[in-house]
This record gives sequence, structure tokens and C-alpha cells, in this order.
Amino acid sequence: MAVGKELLLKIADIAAISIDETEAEDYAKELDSVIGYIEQKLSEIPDDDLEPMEHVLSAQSFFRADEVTNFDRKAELLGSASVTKDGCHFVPSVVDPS
Amino acid sequence: MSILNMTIKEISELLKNRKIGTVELVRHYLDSIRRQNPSLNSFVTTCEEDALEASEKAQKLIDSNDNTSLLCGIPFGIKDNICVRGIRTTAGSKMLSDFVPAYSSTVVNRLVEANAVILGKLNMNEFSMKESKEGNIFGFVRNPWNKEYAEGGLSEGTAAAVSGDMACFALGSDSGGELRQAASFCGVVGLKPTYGLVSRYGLISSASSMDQIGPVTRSVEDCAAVMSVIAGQDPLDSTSVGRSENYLKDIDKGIKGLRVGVPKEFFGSEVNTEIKESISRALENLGQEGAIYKEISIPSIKYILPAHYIISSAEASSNLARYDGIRFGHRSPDARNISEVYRFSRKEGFGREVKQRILTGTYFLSSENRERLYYKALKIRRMIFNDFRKAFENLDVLVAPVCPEVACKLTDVSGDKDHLLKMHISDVYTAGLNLTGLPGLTVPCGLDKNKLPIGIQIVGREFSEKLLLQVGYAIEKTVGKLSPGEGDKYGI
Amino acid sequence: MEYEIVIGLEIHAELKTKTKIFCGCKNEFGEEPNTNCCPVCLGMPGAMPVLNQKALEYAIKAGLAMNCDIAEFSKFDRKNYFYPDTPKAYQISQYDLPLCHDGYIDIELEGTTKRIGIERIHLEEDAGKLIHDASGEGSLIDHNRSGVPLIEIVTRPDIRSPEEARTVFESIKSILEYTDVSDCRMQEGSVRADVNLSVRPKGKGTFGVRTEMKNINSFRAVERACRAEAERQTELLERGLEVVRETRRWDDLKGTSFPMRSKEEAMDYRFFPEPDLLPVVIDRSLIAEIKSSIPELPFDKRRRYTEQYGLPLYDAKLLTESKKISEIFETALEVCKNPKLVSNWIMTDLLRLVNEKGKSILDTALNGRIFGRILLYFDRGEISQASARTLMEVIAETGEEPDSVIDRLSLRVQRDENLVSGVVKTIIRDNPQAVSDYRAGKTKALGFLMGRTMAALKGNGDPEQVRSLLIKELDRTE
Repeated sequence: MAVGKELLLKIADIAAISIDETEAEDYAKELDSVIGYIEQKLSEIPDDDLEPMEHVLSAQSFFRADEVTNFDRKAELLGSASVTKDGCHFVPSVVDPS
Repeated sequence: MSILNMTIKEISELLKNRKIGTVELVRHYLDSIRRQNPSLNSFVTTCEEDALEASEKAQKLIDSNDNTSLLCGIPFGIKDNICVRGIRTTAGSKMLSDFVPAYSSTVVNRLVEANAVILGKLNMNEFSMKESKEGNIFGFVRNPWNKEYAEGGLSEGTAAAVSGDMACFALGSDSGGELRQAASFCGVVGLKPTYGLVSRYGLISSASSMDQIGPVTRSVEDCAAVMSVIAGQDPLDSTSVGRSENYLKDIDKGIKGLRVGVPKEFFGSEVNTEIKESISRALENLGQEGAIYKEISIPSIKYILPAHYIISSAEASSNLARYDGIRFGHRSPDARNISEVYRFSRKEGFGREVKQRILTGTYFLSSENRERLYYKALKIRRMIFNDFRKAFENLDVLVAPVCPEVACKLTDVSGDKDHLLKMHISDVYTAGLNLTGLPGLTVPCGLDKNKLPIGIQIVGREFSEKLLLQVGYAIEKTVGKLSPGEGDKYGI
Repeated sequence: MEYEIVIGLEIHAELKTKTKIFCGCKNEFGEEPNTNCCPVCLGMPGAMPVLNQKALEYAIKAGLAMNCDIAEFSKFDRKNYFYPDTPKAYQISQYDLPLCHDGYIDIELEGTTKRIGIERIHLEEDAGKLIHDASGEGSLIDHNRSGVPLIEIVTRPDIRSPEEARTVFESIKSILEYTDVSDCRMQEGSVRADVNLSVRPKGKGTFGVRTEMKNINSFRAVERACRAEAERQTELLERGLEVVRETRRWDDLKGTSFPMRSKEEAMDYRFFPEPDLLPVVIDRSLIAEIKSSIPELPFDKRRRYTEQYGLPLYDAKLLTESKKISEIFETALEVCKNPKLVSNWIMTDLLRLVNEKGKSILDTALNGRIFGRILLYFDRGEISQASARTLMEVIAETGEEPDSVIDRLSLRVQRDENLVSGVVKTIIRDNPQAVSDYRAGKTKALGFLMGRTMAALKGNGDPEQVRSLLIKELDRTE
């Protein structure tokens, strides 16, 4: 099995989702079967010199002029947060910037 | 007078000739929702007061001006991942069960400017991800053609609302085929436009490089009418590129000389015979109208599924990272420190399948696998794109089924875990267009022996929507309009 | 054993656009929390980024100023990580196709010139700000800074000493200031440096294990951090221990650094191409246009000042450190064509006045043209040194025109020979003791008589003229 419980818990940690041990086994099993299927499929395709296709559009980006457009419903925006304080979003203490 | 199952075009005519009023029209749909929604479960939010107010305004416009838009006063529903300012927008997730956006999506703004009337928000799979186990927070949508039936792992309220006469049309979204599949299961018209043709601003992202908003309607003409309003570049969406067109113009032009390709990979043994037969009949009809069709081969079709699964999971894992309980969305009451705010809020706010997809996507993007899996998927995407492009060198459109099966019974959907992979395998017929950005139109082409609708999918080159609609119009003309409970009339 | 220090810098600088990088919110420092934000910079569901053209142009300008190649095809990527100041839980940045690459800057240290490679410059968005809550219960998040455009300048590991690191940082800052792409408000953190440092036995070809110190926002701190870290690593190696590859936090107050994260727990940023932004394709004509707007840069200016004006390197360095000062120098020089004189007056009197009155006087009362006029009058001998000084002080205060102050305060040097002779005669008449002392050979007496004459002329006498007239008169009346 390519994906075990331990690896799954590591992935869950990177994805910032709390998962308990029993759930982990369940998720790991499913992830393993999906990956098994996918790797088998991918292995059928030779590693040729195809250019990875990031965007389907052949267009290039347009730009925005450097002009202020003031969003005037800030209270509504802040209102979406479940915890706020003094006009700010509020979280338990963040100790050390990383 | 009865306006049951009337198209936009028909209703608009009645409004302009003062045969009905806009308020009366809205009341018709609100009544229909009140009556049917408890069983069909299509709407998750209705906005009665706003809808009545908007319809009064539309009536005034009609009364004072003969040149109102076709959509003036026309009531519609919006999939619940398309933001509407001041109206709860959940994306089918507990995570956003209280989320009320302070902004509207560009498509909604365009429709409101055309004085169409918002009826409410429509049910959907959580973040548009198929879910076999738990359904979503609002439960499964039922098929208006037969309430015992679901939409094959989907819970798209859009198609059910239109098919069940609870809205005149709906806006849906399509990341892997859900818009087209639901439309096909419910016997209505659905279009996934070319990637970039319709603005995604305000659409809650699932797989950003593939998501696209499109109309779900009762007729091909209606689809063209809605597209004429919502298509075109948006300064708020850097990936929007197209021009708006009048898609109604020349829709009845006919299809003489149309070159149609039938990729044999889409008609393998796993496709239900009745579906194959129905599509064959539609092709024969097209032939009689002057089209030329032939079987072709697109070998890379068999890699659509893995490529689509990798890219959509990877993008979703990043798109869904912003749901951390801080600025919006569910925040765990049990979190005691910052790490728990993230980990608990996300554990509680997301459903099982969404979490599985986030974990899967995180795996695909991790430094050990990115090159080997994610970039490989992008290469396969190029291969599939090239293959489709090559097919179009000598062809105008392709046809394909939308799904290998018709709608399945509700009891077959829930509880079966292996069903998940099977469900995704059925995406093979639709997801290729999300991978390549190509447009796909689904039009009903018949009923099966259980009187459940069958859809045909017409695929075109980039920005060939006008042609697709012309072809769809020709098919619709030969099949006729299908409505739940009326299948017998057509003797199919 | 002798060790060699190897340093590379990553410098982040906020660009001085009017609006943020991907939305139209104001890019402004010091406003009420969360006043400059919108669905886009708050990462609300469904909101999408659109690139600010000015941010792109500024980044290209910085790249050209640092001799980089500008990528005709560039793209944005997502750098995924969870942190409360990062609204989308990913930063839109550039991973494998940065906007600018393979450039260099020349620096000057102790009279020698050295070329430092610039590996890349890319465009990205800044994060919000965490404010520690006074109650101690938690942290407040202010998103005014979320989405402010940043460039990250990555040097090659070409730096070999803490002093050099400081000079590179100073040089880059001054290039950013000259090209007018960043405000470079150091104390507000609008320019900050990450230091990558390793040591190796001198002469060894391969690099040692490096550490990274993040977010250092003063020149002095960069130098100190490099020195301390080099010492720490050298000591480890000398004791036969290994340097651990890790990220450290430099505490400038304590003068030491602390480990933050080790390699084992290194973040996996899961970079991938940003699907919400299409590739950026840059027109050659735009690059040419931007190139033509780049002014002469400090290094070239310094060279020109020494070669063309014959200024000492010390002067040239000081005059070019800030763009404003070099502008004052050059404008003043158009009026008063004595480079060393202008330089001396800038380095002493003008900088003292700037310290007292603030930088703004250089734009108003004492702009280059007025400053140059004052020096011109002094250089021509029309006013005395003391008067020139008085003039500057008065003008800095009142903003008057030099000529009107000279007239009002009678500062012009008096050269009317009849008049000066008259004063000299009076002084000789009134100071017989001094006159006889002079005649007795006490030369000191001449100084006394000169002082008296100058005082009688209110300091506006021409010392040469007064002196010669005094001697002439003393000799004549003997």
C-alpha cells in the first residue's frame, strides 16, 4: 500500500484538517485505491516531451490600471467573520511569525 | 392561462402582449416551488420578497417601454456557488452555511441589469464534488421525471428546478460535467461554454482552470438568449476572454453540410444500449437535415479521467484552503489555539468527500509527487487537447453521450462506497471538455423505457457556441420538447 | 583554520503603486485597520485577482536598473501555506518563471568595486499584519497590507563579508529609491532582507550548510546579524560540530538569533501555476520605454562625480546615497559651478539644516536652485562665509528669496574703495596704541585693526581689500 495511515496524517497536517486515527485509515484506504488507479493509468503513457498545459486559453493576461476603486461595504465584509475585535479579524495568539 | 413548462421566448411574448404580468409570473414559480420543492429539494433558499419587488420593477419597464430585453421579468434560479450580494451562498457546504456575500458575481449582475428576476439559490453537491455517502447538507435532489430517482450521484438543483417548472431557467456551473449531466438526467438543455467565455467572478472556485458557469434551460433558444446576456469579457476576471454575441441570431440557419465526428471511444460497451440507440437516431435525423457524420478515434480519451482527477483535486486543495474559520465560514467553537482554529474548523465544516479530495490534491501537489503526478497530468492535458484539436481539423462538431447511464435510483446512490470511483468514471464523457476548455451543449434526444430522459452532447471548437446552438436547435426540432409526465406523447 | 563567509540576500520591497497588486484598494500605510480591503484582497469566496499594470512596470524597472533580462513570458504561481495573515492560505508569487533574471549590481567598498549577481526579481503580494492584542487573549489581523505589491530581489551567493552584505543592501535600496519604484520606508518595514549565510574553509570550492534569517529591516541589523551568524557557524565547525540547515529569527535587541524551523519540518509550499491569472507577455516596446525612464543610478553617478568633477570618493558616496541629495547637488551645480564648494556646503551646513528642519525644505525654501544661488554669491565673494550661513538659516525659516534677505540684512560685501578707505582712516585715527604697536613690529596689532574695520563694516568687508587698504594707510601715514 502506497499510502498508509502515517502518511495520511502527515498530509492532513499539511492540509490543516484534524483527522482522528480511525478516520485516517478510512481516508488512507480510499486515497490508496485512487492513487493505485491513477499511477497505473499514467504509467501507460510514455514520458515524452509534451509541454505541460497549465491554461487552456492561449490568450495572455490583461491588466488593471493603477486606479483606486474603493469597496464601500467594508462592514459587510468584516461581518462575514465569526469573531472580530476593534475592526479586525481575531484569532487566538499567534506566537511566532514563520 | 397555463404557463406550465413554457420557454423564455414564449413567456416573454405573453409579457409583452400583456397576456400575463410579471408579478403573476413570479407567483406561479413561487407557488410551484412551495408545492414541489419539499419533495424535489431543488431550491435551498428562496427570495420571495426580493423577487416580487424585482418583478414589479420589470413590469413597469415593460409598461413604459416596448424594447425591453428578452429576459425582462423572467424568473430564474442560481446554483448556490454563485455569489449574490445579500443572499446566503453556501456552495452546499456546512462551512458556508451562514455565508452572506457582500458582492455579486458578474453573471448575476448582468442578468439583473437585464431585469431578470432572482427566485433563489439552488441545491448542489458540496463545492461541486460528487458525494456518494452523505449527500450534502441539504440532502439529495430528486429527479422531477421520477422522484424515486436521483441524478446519478449529483445533487444539482439547477436542472431539477428547470425541468420541474420551478424556474424559467437556471445558472449552473460545470467543473467536470455536473451541469451537463444533471441537464441530461432531467431532460433539459445545458451548456458548458468555452473556458473564459463567461466570467467566473463570484463563482466559488472548485477547480479554477476548469470551472465554468453556464445556462440550464428548457429550450436551445432559451440557452442562446441567456448566453447572449452572460457571455463576454469581464474586467474582474483575468481568465475571461470572449466577446458577447447575439446567439439567437441565425439559430435556425440549418446544418446543411455540417461535418460531425463520432468518437468511438465514447460509445464503448459500458454505454447503455438505449442511450446509444437514441443518439444514433439523433444522428440519423441530423443526416436527413444535411449533416455528414462519421466515426473517428480520439485515443487519449482513456486518460481524461486520471488527468481530470489529478488537476481538479490539486486545484481544489488550494482553492479550499481559504476556508479557515477566520474571515468567513464555520469556525470551531472548540478551538483553543490558532492551529485548532484551522484544523477543527476545517474538520467540522467540510464533508467527507471534500476532505478526501483536499487530502488527495495535497498529495498530488506535495514536493515528492508534483513532478511525477501533477505535471504529468498537465502533459496529458496537452495530449488530449492536441487530439481534440486534430479531430477538429476536418470536423465541425463531435457528438458524445453525456453519461453512460440514465438517472439511477436514489437507493443505488447512497451507502455504496465503491460507487464513488464508478461515479467518477462516468465523468469521462464530460470532463474532457473541462480539461481542454472546449464547449459542450447537451440537448434531450429521447426517453428510455422507464420514461427517463436521455441527452446527447455536442462538442465544438473553442468559442463555437453559436454553431453548437444551431446544431442543438436542429436536434430539438426533430425530438420536440420533453417534459416530465409527457413522455408518452412522443411515443419514444 | 581560516574560514570564508558566503552570503546571499533576498530583499523584499513594497512598490509605491497607488493601489494593491490584484485589486483597486488603496496601497497606503498607516490607516485605520481594514479600511483598505475588498473581497479580492480578503480572499473571499469567488473573488478573483487582476494584475495592476503599474506594479508590473515597476518590477520591470527595478529589474532593468539591476541589469536583469526581462522575461518576455512570465507567469504567476501559488505558494500554499496556512498563516493567519495570509487570507487565501496561498500567496500569489512567481516560482519558475520570474519576471526578471540574471542581472547584477556593482558595489563599492573601501575603494574597490565588486560585481554582485542578481539571480532573479519576481513580483508577489504582501501579507496582512498581525497585531498583538493588549489583553493578551489573541491576535488582531489587519488586512490593509494584504495584497500590497512586493518585489523579491534574490542575489547570488557572491557576498563575502558582513560589511559587503550591508553595502549590497544599501545599494539595492538606493537603486529602488532612484528608480522611484519603492518608498523604502525602512522603519515601517517596506524594505526588508532575508539573509542566507554559510561558512566554509577558505579555498574550499563547495558551499557549507546555510541558514536563513528572515525579515531584517535595517542596514546595521543586516551587518550585525551576518557577523553574529558567521561567528556562530565558525565556532560550530571549529568544535567539529555541524551547522543545521534551518530558518532563524534575528533579534536585534539581544544581538543574537534563534532557530525557528528546521529542515525536517520545512514547509512544503506545493507551488503550482496560478489558474486565476493568465501568463504575462511583455512587449519589447514596453521594456524599451521603461528603460528610457531609468535615471542615472548611484554607482554611475558616483563614478561621474569623481571623474568629471574631481570630487573625492568620500564626497561622491555621500552625495549619491540619497537621490534627493544628488538632485540638490546637481541643480546647485548648474548655478554655482564649483563642485567641491557645493559638496562641502551640502555635507556640512545643508545636511545640518535638513536634520533640524526636515527633508521637506529641500523641495521648498532651500531647493537646489536657491541653494546654488547662495553658494554662487559666496563663491564670487559677494557675500561672506558667515553671511552665506546666515542666509541659509534665514531662508530655511522664512522661505524668502536670497536677494531680498541680502538687502534686508545688508549682507553684501562692501568693496567701495572710497568708503572702505574712509572707515580704515577712522579706525587708524581712533586706535593710536594699536597703530604704534604695529609700527613697532607687533604684527598682531594688524589683526586687531582688521577686526575693528570688519566690525565697523558689519562683517561685510572683503578681508583682502581691508587688509591691503590698512597696510597701505599705515605705511603712508608713518
